[in-house]
Amino acid sequence: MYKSERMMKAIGDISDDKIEKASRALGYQKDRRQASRISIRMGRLMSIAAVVALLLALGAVAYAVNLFGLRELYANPNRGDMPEEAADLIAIQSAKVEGEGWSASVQETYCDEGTVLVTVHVSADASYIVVPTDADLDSPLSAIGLSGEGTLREYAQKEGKTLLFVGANLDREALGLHSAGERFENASLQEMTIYVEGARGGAAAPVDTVCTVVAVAWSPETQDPDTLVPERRELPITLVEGKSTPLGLYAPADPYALPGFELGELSLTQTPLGIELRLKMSVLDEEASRNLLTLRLDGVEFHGAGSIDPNGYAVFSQGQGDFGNSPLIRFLDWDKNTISEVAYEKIG
Amino acid sequence: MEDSKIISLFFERSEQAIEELDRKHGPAVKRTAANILKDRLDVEECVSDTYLRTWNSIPPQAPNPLASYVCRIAHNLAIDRYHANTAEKRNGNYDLVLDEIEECIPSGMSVETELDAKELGASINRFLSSLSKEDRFLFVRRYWYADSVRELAAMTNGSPNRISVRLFRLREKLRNTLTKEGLLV
Repeated sequence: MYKSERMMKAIGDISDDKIEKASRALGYQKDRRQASRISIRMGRLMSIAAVVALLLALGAVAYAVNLFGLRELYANPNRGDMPEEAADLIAIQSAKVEGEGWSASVQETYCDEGTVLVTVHVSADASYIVVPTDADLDSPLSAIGLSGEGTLREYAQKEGKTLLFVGANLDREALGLHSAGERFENASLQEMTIYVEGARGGAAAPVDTVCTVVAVAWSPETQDPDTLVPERRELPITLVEGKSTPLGLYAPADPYALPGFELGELSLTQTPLGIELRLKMSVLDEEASRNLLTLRLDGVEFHGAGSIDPNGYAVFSQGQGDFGNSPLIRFLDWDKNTISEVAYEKIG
Repeated sequence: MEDSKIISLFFERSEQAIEELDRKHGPAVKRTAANILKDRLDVEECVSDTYLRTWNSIPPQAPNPLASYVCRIAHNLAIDRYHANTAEKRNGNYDLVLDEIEECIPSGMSVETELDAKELGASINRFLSSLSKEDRFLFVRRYWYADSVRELAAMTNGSPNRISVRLFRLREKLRNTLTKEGLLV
């Protein structure tokens, strides 16, 4: 028996409670998406002082009659609403592309030194059900904003429709993105808004770039997955980078305070969406450097996981709070214990 | 339907038990099998075999939780089928999972006996208990359920690159634990 097989046999003996907990997390993403769907819609509905009661029966189509704007899609309970200063920088776009029985158009964009936000509206003809690209045939109906029992496959079969899986990507290289994520909101069976949020590493934003929409039509009863052909369409977008204000350049009191690294300059910048942190770091000891999970700037809460390139920069954005006159950074290991605290002094 | 009611249907030998089991836990069972097997027919057969084994084992058993019970049956059947398949029919994703897990065993070392394998299982359970909730989730989803890194990234709202790094560190941590406990010789 191979070594890996013995290991897998042992892993097969993982206790029931651990399997069960991880199994429940199968619905993790869907549950979370439903929660965000509710909060966004509630915000929208309250803002127009309307009340819509949704009574969802098995497989019934019951969508709120509203479209999702970038501002609504940005807001969530963790980071609150988009700051007014940033909302003023939202640009309306008009590019549209056509696919086989579907079309997509860029609606709104936002860009600053640390963040790119784009909304894409997808519309398909009545033979399709538009589905988020991260769903699968066995995903529950909540993946497309419906309640009720059953899977997408069963629903498509019942309705006699083809599933159209759609996603959107930004040009990561051109925009200097170190991470990007999508969120999907169906406004009907044939209409969906895709919200793309990219975290940038501070590279200069190109004025002209593209958002690529990828669509795959799938009739699971008649088409083998190996025969599917994705359609790709590029939507040209024009970005206007919001103005950022440098808050300061800082040097570490002890560049070697974090085991395994040499710490360099810390720059803090105020973007319209919040504070952006960029910290230069270089690895001195590969083994010791693997202990590092993330960092925290005292007094400031950043949005998302940020990015640490061990031989480049740590970049965190959309921070809210006050770091005082002498920023203090805590470096955490994989158990979220503090490895070291490093004070920074202003040099510019 | 609640799991206890599904179990009652099994005890009554009602065929509705299978229907209800499939309705409630079918997606998880299918996904468990499909992450390990490539061929659609293999997955379907594995799911059918899972239901048959469940039918044959309840009663006398009355598993709680039911979900992990049926997923475990599907997992074991899928692995058996995976090893019985020819290389062409094997699932590339699961090949990758095996390659990754092999990294946990330092070169030149091995798990020699069946007894060692059992102790290894116990050690892995202890290792998992020592992890944070998120790390435990990632490990179990990747190496038990064989979810792809991309799927894990989507589930946890992280980037695939970050997930890969985190899994790498978890494997390294496991390797250190196993070496320290003297389970690798």
